[in-house]
Amino acid sequence: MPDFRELRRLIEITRSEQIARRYLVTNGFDASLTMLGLVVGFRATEKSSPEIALAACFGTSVALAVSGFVSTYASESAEMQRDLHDLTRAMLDDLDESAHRRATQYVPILVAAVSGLSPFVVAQLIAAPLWLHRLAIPLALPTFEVSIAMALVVLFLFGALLGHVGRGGRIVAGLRLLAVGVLTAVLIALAAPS
Amino acid sequence: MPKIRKLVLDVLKPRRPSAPEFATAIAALGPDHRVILDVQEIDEKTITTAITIEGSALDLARIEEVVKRMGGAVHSVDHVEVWGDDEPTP
Repeated sequence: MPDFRELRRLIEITRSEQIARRYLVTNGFDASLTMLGLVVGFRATEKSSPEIALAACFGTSVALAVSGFVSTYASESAEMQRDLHDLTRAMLDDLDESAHRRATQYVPILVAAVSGLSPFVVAQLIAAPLWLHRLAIPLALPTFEVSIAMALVVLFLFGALLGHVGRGGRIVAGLRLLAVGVLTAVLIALAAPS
Repeated sequence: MPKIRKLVLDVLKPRRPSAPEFATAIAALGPDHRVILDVQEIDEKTITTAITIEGSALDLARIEEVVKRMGGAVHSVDHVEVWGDDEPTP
């Protein structure tokens, strides 16, 4: 198992930092909107309780995490094996003792972990008010509303992160994703069968 | 004991790690190692380089090991400079 320093070098060699960042944002964004959709949907039905919503949100977050990890590991592993094969042919060498071969072993696991953890953590943040309700910790506002607000805050933060990555305006980029979240919530609230 | 003071190696390396990173890894083998990496040819995935290494006692096997670990391959040793014993034997 490579130490932290070697892992950093392997990430640099394969330029996987950008790839991991993309998975962090895309899967985190997916999870934000999915959770927002679930919570808004539950809020629309009068019979649903925060307990039922929590179970559904938790199950969805686990599924998103497993899906993110497995699909990313499979695709990144295949892409890196292909890159290594091409490089091996170009070098006319087996590259058995090279950092490149070690990178194909360890970097896909790391990128997949980011891809799987991102939606899970995001989903738990949005479900935090539901957890607090379950633990009988009172909130100042109704549980579903706080959860929806959390989802919108997370979406704004993802937008701000993208603005930072793109060397653009963080606030404008944050507001753009916040608008997407508000629009989605309104669409679900209008269309959801009560 | 005679010591290798200078080597010029013909090395094929992948595009990554970069030339500075590659040279730094070799230079890290000894406190007095001086490494000059000249790019000879750039291909789609590889770079042909001439690497000049100077130091008071170079270890070719360890240099080859580092080159291999960085994904490179020593194609030939093009120049060697060896100095005899520093201290004359009585």
